[in-house]
Amino acid sequence: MITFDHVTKRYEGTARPAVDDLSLQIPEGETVVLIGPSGCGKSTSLRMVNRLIEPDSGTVSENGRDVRDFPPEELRRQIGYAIQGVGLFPHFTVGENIGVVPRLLGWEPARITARVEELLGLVGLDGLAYMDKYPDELSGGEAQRVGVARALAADPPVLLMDEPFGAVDPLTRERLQSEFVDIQARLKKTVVFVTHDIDEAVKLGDRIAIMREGRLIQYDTPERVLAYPADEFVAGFVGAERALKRLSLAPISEALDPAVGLNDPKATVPLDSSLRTALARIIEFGVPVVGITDEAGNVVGSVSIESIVERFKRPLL
Amino acid sequence: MRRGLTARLFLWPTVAFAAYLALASMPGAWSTVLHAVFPSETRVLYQQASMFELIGRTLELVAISSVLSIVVGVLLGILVTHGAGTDFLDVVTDLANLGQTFPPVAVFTLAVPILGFGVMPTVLALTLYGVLPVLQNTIAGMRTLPSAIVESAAGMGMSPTQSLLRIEVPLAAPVILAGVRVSVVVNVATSTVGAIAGAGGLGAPIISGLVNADPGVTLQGAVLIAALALILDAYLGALEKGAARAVGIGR
Amino acid sequence: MKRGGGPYKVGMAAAVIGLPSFLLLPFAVVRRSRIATGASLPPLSAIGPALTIALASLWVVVILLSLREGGRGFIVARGLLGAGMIAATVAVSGWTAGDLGAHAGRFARVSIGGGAWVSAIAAYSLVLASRRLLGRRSPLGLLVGLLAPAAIVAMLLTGFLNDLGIMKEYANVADRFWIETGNTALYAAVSVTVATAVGVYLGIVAFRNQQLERPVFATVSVFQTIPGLAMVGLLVAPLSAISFALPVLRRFGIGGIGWAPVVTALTLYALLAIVRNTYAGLRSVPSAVVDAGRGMGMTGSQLMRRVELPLGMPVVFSGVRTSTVQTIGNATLGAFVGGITLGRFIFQGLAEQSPDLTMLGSIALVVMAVIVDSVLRVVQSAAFKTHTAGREGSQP
Repeated sequence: MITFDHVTKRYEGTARPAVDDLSLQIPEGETVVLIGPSGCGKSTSLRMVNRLIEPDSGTVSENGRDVRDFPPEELRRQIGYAIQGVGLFPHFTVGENIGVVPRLLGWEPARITARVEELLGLVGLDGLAYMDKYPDELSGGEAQRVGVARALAADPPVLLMDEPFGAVDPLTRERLQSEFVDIQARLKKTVVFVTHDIDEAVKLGDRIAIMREGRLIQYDTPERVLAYPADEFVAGFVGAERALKRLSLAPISEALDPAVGLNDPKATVPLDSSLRTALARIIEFGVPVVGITDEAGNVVGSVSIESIVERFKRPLL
Repeated sequence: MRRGLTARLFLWPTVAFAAYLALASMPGAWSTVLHAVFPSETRVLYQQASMFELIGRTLELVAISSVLSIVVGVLLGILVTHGAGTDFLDVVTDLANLGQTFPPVAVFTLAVPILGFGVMPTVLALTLYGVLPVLQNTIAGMRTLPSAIVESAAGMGMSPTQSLLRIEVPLAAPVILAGVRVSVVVNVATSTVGAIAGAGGLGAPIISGLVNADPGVTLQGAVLIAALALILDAYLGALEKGAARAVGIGR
Repeated sequence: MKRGGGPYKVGMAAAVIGLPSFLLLPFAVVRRSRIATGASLPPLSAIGPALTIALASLWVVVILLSLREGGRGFIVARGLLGAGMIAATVAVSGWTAGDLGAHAGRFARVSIGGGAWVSAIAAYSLVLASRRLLGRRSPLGLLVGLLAPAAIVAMLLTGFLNDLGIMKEYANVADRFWIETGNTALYAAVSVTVATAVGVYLGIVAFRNQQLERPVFATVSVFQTIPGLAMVGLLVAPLSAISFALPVLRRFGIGGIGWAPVVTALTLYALLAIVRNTYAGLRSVPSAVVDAGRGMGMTGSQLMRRVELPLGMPVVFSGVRTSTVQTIGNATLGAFVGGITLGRFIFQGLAEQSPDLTMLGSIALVVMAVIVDSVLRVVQSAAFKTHTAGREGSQP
């Protein structure tokens, strides 16, 4: 668990603090997304966790211990760090890049090699093919994957990520985001993730912290942020189509009705989709109700516009 | 070896150097050719020292001063681009740029009155002047390191020394080596003139030939040192190229 | 200025270097005659306790002014102080040289010692730092920068420094001095002009034709790699052969010795910087602009003349400038082949073991190089005020 306790950081010559009295708790095993407009302090806050930046006042602690109690290098070797430019070392192979922290920690070479192969598999790259490649031989998406693998190399409990999927095309980014969600579901790391893209935040975050001008404006689950934005700024920031965004977060099971009144056998949607997909299908086929199918293809229920609207009338807990 | 830095890069410079040394060991051949070119001259070869001795002395001068220049230049460049030293970056850069305006011979004039004649002032002059390109390139190399790479190195838990030795210096190496190359070439040129300060080397026959109107002697010295400069430049060029490839630039 | 707290490190470092050097290293060197070995004198002996304390206290003031970085006032003060210290050191040297020399006999020579030099250079770093912070072209920056040179020029003109060994050498060779200076300038001007014409052309060729790029650069780089003296040496034989074959050339002074081998060598040396900068300048023209020009129907040569060259000109000019400064320095080589340049003083001084003569030649050379560099920089910023891609960064 990571705690920010009244943390402030001010840069000389600026009018307002970069981070202004930030207090925030990041539960263990969860992904917390720091998001906000440029200059809101999200990246600065992130870098205070691994002491690349030191706060002027307040404390940052990990599991109750002030991060300042640790020598900075030791601290950072226990925290994974993935940034936007990736920063792969061009004179090291992929394998050597990923192995940097394990080598700093003194692992034996055999263990490092095994771990590198494991991680490459985890991020979807063929270990044998990629281990000896150099960064300039990689595509943008491959480089970002290697960056994530490098951050995970020493199996740190905490991961800091600053727009790690920023420098690729939207299609690749979407794929990387989905894979991140899968990996995180398996590994359950404590992740602090910085982005300026609300869709990414909604997709990846267990919680979202919206920051503005150094201050924390709202800190809640994505559903609640979308449903109950704290003020006009947040409402504007999450975008005009927040209702649709909420739909993409809601599983179909929450608006499932018995399978009645289904006319078109093609107008179906798998059970593991979101209500947004169901709504899209309703509109696409011009039917009032769509069928919901399980993995085998059997129809197990239906969703209609009314059931969707009903579900959204219910307040969130 | 690291990828890119292959032995093959140094093939042609080594062949050339071998040929060079072979030619230097044949004063008879030189004599014949030079007599043919300058039939009216009695003296065509430098008498005071053999070609090998001259080459050896030049290489000695250049080697010592280059090593010193590199050490001083790189260390100083690292100092002013890191930590507390960055306060001095501006002043050092300005002084270095100013130093570049000075012709190399001017450095002799400072060294000779203080240290007298001979090898020492020449080495000092060569070192001082040779520091500048290495220093400037080290500074440039350090400052143009991509920030994502330097930040990653720190963020992953490398200490400043580890980051410097394993990441920053290797990545800045191609640029630094370009500076070393300039430094060595300038050193060769200045050492040639240094012969007048009593340091010996391949400048001596050139100067002696010009002063005594012995064109054969002049040509002997000129050809030998021109070829030596080109060979050294070729070696360093190969090194620079290999380093660039190792770092992923310019494949 | 966002300065404030903490000590001013550059000032402290300058003082740490300058004050001990001033006190412990020799301030003046006295010789019985121009070629005798000298006695190095520490400041107490050379200039007496009063002046020693006076100059030392200036360094103490530097330390005091460096306790805090301070704001604009501190910066100006330190810069002016540095300039003042340089002027003071020179003035004191000149003032005391007469007395020191008188004790050592009729032919005595007094030179500025290492301690004074180091102290002056340390003070100069204060000037440099100050100018950079104030803005080199701003009124205050210019004041700080020109204070010491102006004072020294004034001292020279009023004969205040005439007792120094350097000025006595000058007095001996005054006519030759100006001839040599003029010749140095002339050689440099001719070489750079020819090199610019040829170099810009070669740069355009290399830029236009990718296949020629490597051979052009390789050739021009070879010229630069060959040591200057060797280049001159290599040219002597062919040039004298040519002048034998075509005696008419001798009338113009073209021959194995004299200006011909020097100017040829200087031209070949000046080529690389110009070719390289022409190439870089042309490359720096944004391709969008070139496309627009082509789209309007310009031919290749029209494009070059009206778009690419004009836009690339600042970088080209910068190359001409660096080339000129280098060439002035290289012109010293002329001394070896009977060319009448400042190099003669330098090498004559080295050969005769008269350091003051060597100094005279060197200082004149450096001053000329600095003046030409500054003038060309001013011309550069005046002529190329428009924004272009690839502008170079800050300049000292």
